[in-house]
Amino acid sequence: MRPLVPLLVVATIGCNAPDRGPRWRETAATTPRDGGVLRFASQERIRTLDPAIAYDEVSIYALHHLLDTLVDYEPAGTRLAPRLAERWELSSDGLVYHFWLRSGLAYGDGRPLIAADFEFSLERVLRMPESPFQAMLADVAGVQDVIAGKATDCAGITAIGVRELEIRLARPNAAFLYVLAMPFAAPLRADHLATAGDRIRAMPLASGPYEVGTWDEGQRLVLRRRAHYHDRSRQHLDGIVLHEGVARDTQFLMFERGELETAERLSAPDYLWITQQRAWAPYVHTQAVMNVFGSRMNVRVKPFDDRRVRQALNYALDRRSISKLLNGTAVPAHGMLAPGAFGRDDSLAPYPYDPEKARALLREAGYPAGFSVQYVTLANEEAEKLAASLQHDLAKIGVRIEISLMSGPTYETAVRKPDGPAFSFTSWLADFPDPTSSLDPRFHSRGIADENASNDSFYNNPELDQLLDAARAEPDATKRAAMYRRAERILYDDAPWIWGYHQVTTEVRQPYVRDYRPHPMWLRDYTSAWLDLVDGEPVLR
Amino acid sequence: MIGIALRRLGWSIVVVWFVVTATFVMVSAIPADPGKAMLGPHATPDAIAKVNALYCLDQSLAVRYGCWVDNLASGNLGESYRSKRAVTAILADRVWPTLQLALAAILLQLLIGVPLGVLAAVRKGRWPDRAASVFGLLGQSAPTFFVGTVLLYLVAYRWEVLPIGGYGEGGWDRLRHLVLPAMTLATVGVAYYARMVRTELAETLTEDYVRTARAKGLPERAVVLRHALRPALGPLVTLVGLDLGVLLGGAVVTEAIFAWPGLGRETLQAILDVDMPVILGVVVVSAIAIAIANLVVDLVQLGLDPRLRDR
Amino acid sequence: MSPARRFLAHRGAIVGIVLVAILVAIAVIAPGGDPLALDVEHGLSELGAPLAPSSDAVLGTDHLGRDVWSRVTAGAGTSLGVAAFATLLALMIGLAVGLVAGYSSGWIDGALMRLVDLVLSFPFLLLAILLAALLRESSLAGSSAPVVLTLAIVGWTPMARVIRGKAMTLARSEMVVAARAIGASPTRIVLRYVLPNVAGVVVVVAVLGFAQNLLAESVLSYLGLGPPPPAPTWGRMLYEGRVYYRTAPHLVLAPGLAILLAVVAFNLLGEGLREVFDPKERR
Repeated sequence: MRPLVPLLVVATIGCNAPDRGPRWRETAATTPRDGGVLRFASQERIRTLDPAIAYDEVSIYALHHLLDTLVDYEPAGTRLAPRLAERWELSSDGLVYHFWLRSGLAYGDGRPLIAADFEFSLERVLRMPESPFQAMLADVAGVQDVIAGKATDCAGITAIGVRELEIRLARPNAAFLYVLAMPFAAPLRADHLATAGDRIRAMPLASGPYEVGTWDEGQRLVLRRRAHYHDRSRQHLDGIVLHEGVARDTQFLMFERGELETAERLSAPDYLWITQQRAWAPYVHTQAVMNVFGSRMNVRVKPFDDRRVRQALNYALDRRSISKLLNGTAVPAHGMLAPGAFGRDDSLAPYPYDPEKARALLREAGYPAGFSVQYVTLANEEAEKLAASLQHDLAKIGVRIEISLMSGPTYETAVRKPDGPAFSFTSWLADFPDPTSSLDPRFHSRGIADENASNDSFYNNPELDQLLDAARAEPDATKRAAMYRRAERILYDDAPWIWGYHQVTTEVRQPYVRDYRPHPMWLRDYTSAWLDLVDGEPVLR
Repeated sequence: MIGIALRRLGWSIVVVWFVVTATFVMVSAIPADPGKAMLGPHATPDAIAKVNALYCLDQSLAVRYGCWVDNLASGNLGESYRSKRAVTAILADRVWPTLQLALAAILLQLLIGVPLGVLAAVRKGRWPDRAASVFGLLGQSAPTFFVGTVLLYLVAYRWEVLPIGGYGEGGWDRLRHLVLPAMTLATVGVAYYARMVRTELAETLTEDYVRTARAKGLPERAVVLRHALRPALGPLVTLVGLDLGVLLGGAVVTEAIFAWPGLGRETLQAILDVDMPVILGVVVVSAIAIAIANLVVDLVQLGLDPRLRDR
Repeated sequence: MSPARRFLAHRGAIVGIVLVAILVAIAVIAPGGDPLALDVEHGLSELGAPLAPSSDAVLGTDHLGRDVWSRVTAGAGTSLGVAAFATLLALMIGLAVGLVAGYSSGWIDGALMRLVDLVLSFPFLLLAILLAALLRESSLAGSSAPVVLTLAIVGWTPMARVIRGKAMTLARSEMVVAARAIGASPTRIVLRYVLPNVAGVVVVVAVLGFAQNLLAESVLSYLGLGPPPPAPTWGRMLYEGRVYYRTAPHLVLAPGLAILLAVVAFNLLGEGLREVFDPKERR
């Protein structure tokens, strides 16, 4: 039978995919009901459920349902709201945060959730060299001693009684609160860690609405509603199932077949197909995310050391065609900050497409005939499209690029050295919607190092450094925003990157998944979703 | 015979050692910094240096190798850089799915390939023979991912007969999930098996003892199946053995297409992540599997054909 | 029967050689336009989808608006080229090892065959992926060299084995024994007597190996480890087009069928040649 496959294919090619609208529909109900299990899938696999280490997207999807933190983003936006903390206060010098926890908080086994658990959890992170989050706690007083092993207790983190927590910073950091919304800042009990031992990577202590039911690593994570949680409105679902390691297109097939409740990051053909199906339109969601894609240049290396060359390359890129290549999911960028980010200069337009000007700038800079250069990129769909488009556009102004592919870890190592590839694809997903999470690591001179530099453009501008440092500590939001707008302008003019685009994420849901939208920070957050089922089954269309 | 068997065993051990060491050297040569990959883009150079020290990554190649062998001797294959999960646990999870897939594929190859080969030999020169060789040629020439993708699309998605990838729940459900990946894998093997059986059988059918059997009045089917097919068993065993060895290394592409949680998919992911402990773990397992398969095949051949013992 | 007649008696071989001739012609002449010409304006639909085959573009366009027909025909050159270089390289290694092993016998033979054993014990795909990943990071990145080297290193062993077998038989033949008796040097014997007679077998393994390398390149490309973009190899086209198999199947069918056709053609040719040089040979 198998050798007949090519012939069968030819036979079926004539028939296009049938018009497949949703099989089910929502009912007229508007009040959320409890019940049902929501199934979704991810292309990548969960690395670990230990929040102190988990830094990849999929692990964070899972952890967000399992763990609660002091503060969290509001359901549809990027502002912080109380979660486990009832309220908080910041001292006038901007150095001391004081939190009051809600009363009656408990874990799944009924044990009370107390302030000391936050202290324990944060100090644990400080004692783990493999934790990526140590850098985020750098502003807290006393962290260096714990990291260096000189102390087990962090001077700046203190639990006061059962329900109060105080965190003292060594330097003011206007964006510090965001850090506490990340899963690693969730509470942890010492005895739980002791019991779990090495298995802590599969046994997170559920402070959130769900707990781990079973986990077949690499295949499937099953979460179930847990007892003793204070907010029933986040626990409509009986359970949540995450299928790991399912390729995007397979996910979409499974979704269409009804084996999944949602499918995300639709690949181009799937997105194109579904946007053309009117019946699916109300259930297709796009969400702006704090990301940015572009091409970085090492500004210490010729020819990128000349600002005119960098600007020329920015003028040479046709961002409209990239938009089309990405099927309308790309928004041209003028800088790192995505729409919705604090401090973004919304009036600043991306570089216009002007090959004439580009050529003129190149001539001025001494490259009338252009030049050849290597361009390194990652092997994934979007990166390759950008690379192909870039190659095409730059060739028109005489810049010939030779594309070379690298895998993730090798790429990370290679480009963060001053003598590594000088021109490569780059992207960034901010950890929180504040410029300290994007501009600082990538463009502050503090990020320059001989190895593993986070500032891989090796861009060193004292004026920018000063602005970023001042903005980081500035308590007045308006002044802060003005500083960041100025910073954006500087980076726009100096162009250490070819500013590319921001990409929206796409997700599609079954009609009976109600009150769900992708979250700008958490992406797939099902804690407020409910399933519109009748007698446990969705209603057929 | 024992002497030869021991020599072969000794050589198998050398082979496994060589494969593992060569892999160690090659992976070490990939210029990726696992510390960096683990900690992400915000990491300070200090933190990265610390992690590298933690995993002995800042030592020389020889020291690292020694470290690893030491651990191996005590059954410890280390932890994945990526997930910090024990490599032995990861392998344990992946071996059974791969084994199921390998056995299913070989079963299909036998069930389809052998009868096909018999048919071609018995009707040698006529249209079943021609058709079989055309089928065989196509099967051998189509890339696995092509076949797999088409099967997934047609059978699972369009016709909705079988599930769209995944591992299933066990029992009947597992079998349903196993069908398509096994068929995809078996495509190439069927051609080889069929051709081999056909060649062997075509020879034997002209031999004297077969003609004698026919003259004795035995039914044709008995002649073919019981007498003529016997010499073909030897090479068939060889093929199956080698196949098993190879398939136990995991079918990377097939597992990727059908989201089958086997060794192959794990290998590819580990190589792309430059997750050294996992890569080495997988290599050890597949090298041992292949070595055992080769060893068994060698010994069986020696057992069947004493002439080879003088070599 | 003369070799030519034996060849022509095999119908498959005729089909094979005709197909191969067509493929080579396409590879050399490269009809069709520029395979690298991106065309976002006109090569894609309003929303950026690839265009189906039409009178303007016989095989449609791909996800970057490039003409698929141009890429398939240019791909013939690239894919066949990569496979050819890999096969040639593998052949050189295999020939060297096989001749020396087959002619010398004794411990040299033993040692070389052990080497073959070692290489063969490496799980093929694992070795290929490792090598490709490793070489890709080296200074050879940006070219097809990593893929060619990978395929050659993985593929020389079967050739070595077959050539060794033939060389061994020849080493015992009368003519060689006679040559040795009159005191000819081993080098001279190998070059004058063994090599020409091995040619037949060499051609067969080369052609069959070529088919294997075509397939292998497409597998490596499918895993993202093949020649880097924008090289229009068929394998890479399959890799880039694989997500479109439902909405724009021509992106998968065109390179897929091309690979199938080419591999079938070379397999047929190889089988036909095998009939000529080694009739009734058992594998």
